[in-house]
Amino acid sequence: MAANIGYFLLLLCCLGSVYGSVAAWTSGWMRHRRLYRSAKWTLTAICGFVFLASAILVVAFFSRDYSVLYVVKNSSNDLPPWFTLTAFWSSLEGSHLLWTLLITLLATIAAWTHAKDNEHIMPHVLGTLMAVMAWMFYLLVTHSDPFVQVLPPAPNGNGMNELLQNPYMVVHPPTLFLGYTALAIPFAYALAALSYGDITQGWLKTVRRWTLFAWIALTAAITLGGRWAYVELGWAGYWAWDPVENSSFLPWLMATALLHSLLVQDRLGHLKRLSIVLAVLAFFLSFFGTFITRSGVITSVHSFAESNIGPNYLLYLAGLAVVSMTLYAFRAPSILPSETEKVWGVSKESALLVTQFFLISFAAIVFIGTIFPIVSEALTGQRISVQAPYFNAFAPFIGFGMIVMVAVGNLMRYQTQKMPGAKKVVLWSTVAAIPLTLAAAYFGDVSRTVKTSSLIAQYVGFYLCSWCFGCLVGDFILKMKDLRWRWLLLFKRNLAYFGAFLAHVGFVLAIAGFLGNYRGMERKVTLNVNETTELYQFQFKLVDKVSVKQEHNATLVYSPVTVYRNGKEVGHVEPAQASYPTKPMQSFNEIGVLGSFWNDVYIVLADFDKEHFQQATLHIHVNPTVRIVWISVFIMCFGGMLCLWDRYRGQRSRDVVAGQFDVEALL
Amino acid sequence: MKKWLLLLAFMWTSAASFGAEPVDEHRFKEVAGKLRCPTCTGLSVLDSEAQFSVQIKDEVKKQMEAGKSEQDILSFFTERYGPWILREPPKEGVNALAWWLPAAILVLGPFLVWYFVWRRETRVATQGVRSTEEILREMRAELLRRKGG
Repeated sequence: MAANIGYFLLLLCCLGSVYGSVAAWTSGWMRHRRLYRSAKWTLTAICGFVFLASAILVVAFFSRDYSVLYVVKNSSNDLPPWFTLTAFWSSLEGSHLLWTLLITLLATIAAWTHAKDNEHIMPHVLGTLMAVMAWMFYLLVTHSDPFVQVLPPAPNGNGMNELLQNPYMVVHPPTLFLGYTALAIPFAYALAALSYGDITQGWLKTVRRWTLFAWIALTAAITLGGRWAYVELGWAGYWAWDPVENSSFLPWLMATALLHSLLVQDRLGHLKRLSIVLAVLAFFLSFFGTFITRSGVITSVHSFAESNIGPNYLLYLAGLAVVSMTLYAFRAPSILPSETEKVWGVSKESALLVTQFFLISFAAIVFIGTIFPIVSEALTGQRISVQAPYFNAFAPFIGFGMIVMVAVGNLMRYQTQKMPGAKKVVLWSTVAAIPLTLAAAYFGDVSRTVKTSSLIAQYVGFYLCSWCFGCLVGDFILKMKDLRWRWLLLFKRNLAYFGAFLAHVGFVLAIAGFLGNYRGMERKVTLNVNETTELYQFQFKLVDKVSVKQEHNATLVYSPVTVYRNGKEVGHVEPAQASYPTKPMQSFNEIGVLGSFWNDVYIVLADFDKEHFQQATLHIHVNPTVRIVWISVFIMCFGGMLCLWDRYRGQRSRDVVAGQFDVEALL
Repeated sequence: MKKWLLLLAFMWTSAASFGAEPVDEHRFKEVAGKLRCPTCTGLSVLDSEAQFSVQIKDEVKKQMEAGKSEQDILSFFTERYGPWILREPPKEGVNALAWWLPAAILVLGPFLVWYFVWRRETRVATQGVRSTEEILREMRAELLRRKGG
């Protein structure tokens, strides 16, 4: 019954979005205010309805209503409450509903909070957003309907995907969708600017805010996803260049590039068309990711559903590409750069452009690597794999380029090649980087790397990171000297600079953290009770026999291991194999992770003595600098949030726009 | 204590290789890291404990003990499973494109940026599109005309 209402609401939303989209576009074309208002209120109503529909599904989950097929497939009676909520987005239909819910919510927020001087492009913005929503609702009522019913209801469900029963899966998907959907708003503004034929004054501010918001959400979400892989999959890594990881990374790269092109646009009024292209691409790639996830064209950890939704997505992506490109081809010439006296040359704007070049090329390479298996198979009929080694072959060049650009670009100034004090900063960092590198090499114990080329790569990497860090700090000191160290003034007037400084420091730190992948250590060992083994600086003792415990719905067979570092106890972990009543034949890793700032200890219970429980086979990894990666992402997100609170960025618009002419003043 | 540990480690490695000459662990990792786990996504056989991967790892170990070179082992698996088993696309035929395209982007890209952006500043003015200042001037003239007329 309730499910029928849910379906009806979705149907209503679908029809409402179609109406709203048409109404908004027409109102933009005819400049009809009341029609626009009707579109806006339709959007608001849809937002309410889709919330109601989602609530119905949530209630179905919590009341264990097994007359709903989606609930049967993705939950069971023994599921603890937080995973019952997570089950909502643990499969195709529900995650689609969540995505639609978020895009509707953000569209409604965007509709009600737009800048005053954007009023005349808002019809186009809403028209675009509601067209996207219409398509998503269409999918919800046709190919991925979460309210399909089965009667009579089953007594118990099939259970939620066990791999997803992990705390990180409670937060990772919503955060990722938040990032994806937030990119819809820059996209809508880009199309609006094209169809309106000019960039309005409030455009930049709004687009900057939403892109920044999307960027923060994506940064956090990608890391949370990596963290999930790290603690759940048991291969001791957090990034495998899996197709779907790649497709969450692509919009991130585009959003990053967009942020930098918006910066040039803010200061000089240039790169407007590039911003538009990047906004479109970021949005397009977020859906490209879903296409990959949902259609199963590329096998991946994430392709959890085989459905006929694929062709629909392909059609949608093609439509998106055709509409955007046509609009761009016809209207882009009307979007002019402002007449700035002197641009490019040796200056910050050029540095930003080169940074974007690296970001976009990286995206291109990742894109090529992701789709190449399909292309190659279509052309030659032979299957090939494109996995981590391929991407790792190119990533260092990009990383090198970006590090240099971060260091140099921050020191450069707009519209002039003069860089007061920069020479000193660069020289000093070149010197100061040496002790920093040595310290990092000492604490991180780089010398234990076996392969010579990896060893050199790490030293060079650490040196460059330290050098870049030195340049960033040097630039910060120069800025603060100009302000005579008045911190309050910095926080009040140029918070975005401080935020960007932190984000860049986080980025450099992350690169330093990635270098740890060159020197991981592992050992597989079978221990008897009270036996000890050693790996690197750590000793591991199986303190008690392997035991069984119940944790909510999971039955854990765990081996209690105490970890010592050079004889001193650092902690106790219980790596385990979990089994769930819904999949009794399979076991899932519960990894014991422990560690210091420099090294993560990562223990997988590979096997155990099933008769006497006296023996455990442990797969022990020592992963250096993993923790640094998590910290660095935290810093990046914090920096991004500070930028969000800046009140001055994006306010300036150097060029006069048609919508803003004050006719009286002209006379 | 340490002696015991060493002994244990030795016993473990020798047990793994069934008493034969122990395989150079580092070389083994190199080779196993280049083969994909057939049943997982994105992982090498080295990182995977899937049944299929364990078989492949054993085969690699066996062949290494028989004194085969890395190239021999890789081509053995390529013949058996096709180039799909390698984690990188082969650098020949159509698949070479996967290697040349990114390289071309990285090498030619900067040139394109220079060509399309740096040179742009002189071209904008010659395209005949009106600048905002020009539009302003025209509007002002038009308004004055209307006011006067």
